[in-house]
Amino acid sequence: MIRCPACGAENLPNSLFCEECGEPLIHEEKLTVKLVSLTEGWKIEMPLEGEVIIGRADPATGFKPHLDLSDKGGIEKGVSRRHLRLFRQGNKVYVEDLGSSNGSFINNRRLLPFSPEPLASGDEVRLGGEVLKIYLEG
Amino acid sequence: MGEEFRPDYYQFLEVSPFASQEEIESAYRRLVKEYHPDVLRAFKTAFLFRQLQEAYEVLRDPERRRRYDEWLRAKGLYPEKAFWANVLLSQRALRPLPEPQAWYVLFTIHAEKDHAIPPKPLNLCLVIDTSTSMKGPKLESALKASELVLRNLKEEDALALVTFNDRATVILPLARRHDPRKASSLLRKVKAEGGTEMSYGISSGLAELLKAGNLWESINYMLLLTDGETYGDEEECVRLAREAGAKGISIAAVGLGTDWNEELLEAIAQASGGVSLYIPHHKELPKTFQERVGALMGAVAAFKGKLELGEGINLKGLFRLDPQVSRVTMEGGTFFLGPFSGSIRLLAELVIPPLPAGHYPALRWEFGDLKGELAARGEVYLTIAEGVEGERIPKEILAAAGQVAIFKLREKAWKEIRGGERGKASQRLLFLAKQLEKAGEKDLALLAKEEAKFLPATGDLSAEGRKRLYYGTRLLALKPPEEG
Repeated sequence: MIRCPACGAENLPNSLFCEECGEPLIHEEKLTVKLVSLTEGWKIEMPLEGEVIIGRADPATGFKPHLDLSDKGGIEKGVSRRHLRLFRQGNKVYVEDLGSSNGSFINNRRLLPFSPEPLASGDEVRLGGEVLKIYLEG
Repeated sequence: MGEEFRPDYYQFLEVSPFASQEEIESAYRRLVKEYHPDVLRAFKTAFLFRQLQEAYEVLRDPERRRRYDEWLRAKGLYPEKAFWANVLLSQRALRPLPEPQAWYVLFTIHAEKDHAIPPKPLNLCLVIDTSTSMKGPKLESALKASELVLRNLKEEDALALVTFNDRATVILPLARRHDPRKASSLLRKVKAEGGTEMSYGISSGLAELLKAGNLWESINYMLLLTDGETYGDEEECVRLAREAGAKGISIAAVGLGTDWNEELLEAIAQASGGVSLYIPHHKELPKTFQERVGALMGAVAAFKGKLELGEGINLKGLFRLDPQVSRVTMEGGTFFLGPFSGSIRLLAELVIPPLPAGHYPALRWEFGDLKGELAARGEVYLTIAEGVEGERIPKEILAAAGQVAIFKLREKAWKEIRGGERGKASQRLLFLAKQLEKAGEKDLALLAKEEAKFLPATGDLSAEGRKRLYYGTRLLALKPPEEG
């Protein structure tokens, strides 16, 4: 059995809502992603609900990534428009290179394009010449 | 078990057998991202991913798809007509557990857009309460609403009008193309007096509808209006409703004001595949009648459903979500869904017993018209496998189960009130208030809180609060959780 966090009632495993009080039993905890640039020194925090795309805005197509590195030296460092994305699957976070020109690395290991890998808090992720330290806070 | 396991490829790709190659392609692309072993690392077996590949490889190849369709057809699982039920599972695979676990299946029965089935003419009976309490503006509104319905029918539609108090009177016998002037003058003579014995009204209304002869050729519907409690014939009303449902006649039970029994009207609706509605003020009657009849205009047939459970698997609850949330009661595995036009969602809550890893036939389903001309059938297999976790619950299932969760809280509160469990019922209303608030239903949440406050002393809800909560909690347009 699983216990409802709100009212303490017992429910069958894999129940979606509590039979007693209607509380959702399968919910994704809120997650914040904190990015620290080791090359530029800036820090930024954002909620990770679905996905966070990191890249550069493209005024021609109207594309805007969740984190735009255009004014953070992204062009000089070879960051692509759609460079990398972080996303959640259940309670796990993954990082995926979106076919960037200059590639992405996790802890100095190259990410294959479009091949997501799990990300742990404190991992170092490189986008072209930009190095980010990524922290996950629940 | 016994039979060789072969997954339903269409179901696995969450498309219907009518899906185009493009739709199959795009479904595959969407799912492959979710089920890629690199993403779902937790999968010790890459089983689901392999199954997805298999489904895609068969369905993308026209020749292999044709052979697969033939195989489905041989099993009676290929839809010959133009509608289908999409099946979504809360999880495609469950872990083997030493205890029972919950599993959810969401059906969306829908007509395929490119295969229109012609709508059928209406066979309609209005059954109007003319007890003393209807006197004055209420009756006037009801008669005005009836006249409007009559004027807006198409030539091929048939209509009857019956009134009831201590007995039933046929004002307009079933006919096509009533003379509007003659009908108006007959309606003007209707008076309100006497008590409320609803079963007479239902019974007389049914007799009119049955005059149509071949009920398969029409959409058969009774619009029943009452403003009060019926006296001692509740069971007879429900029995008649069940009889109606079995003949393809559905009943919309409309309650006006607050002095009627919502549980009775809902039981009538459920037994016949109809709906029950709450109309606070008589001024809304013409609009309500028009909307109900309007919704029937595109209907193709009265539908029923059938579910057969695999060995050891239990159905904890079955709920329909459209047009409003209601519990579906089955008799011998079948249930009435009423006139089918757009689409109907049904959520089945299942309890899975402890099972070792493997594939199990969990559910056979069938939806179709009462005559058996239109039918879609399918089988749902359950996969139990080690190391499956981290699968994302489809947002459509979360949204449906959330609506049902609120519905069930309300249902439990009513049961507790009936059983005199004041404290429990009051607590239940507070739980309900909390969930309503989360759903953004501020007014209903406030109402539930107010009612919870007075319940321990009075032992009941206020008449208006009762109706507003009963019906308000069934029509929530809950937003599905944010897409991720």
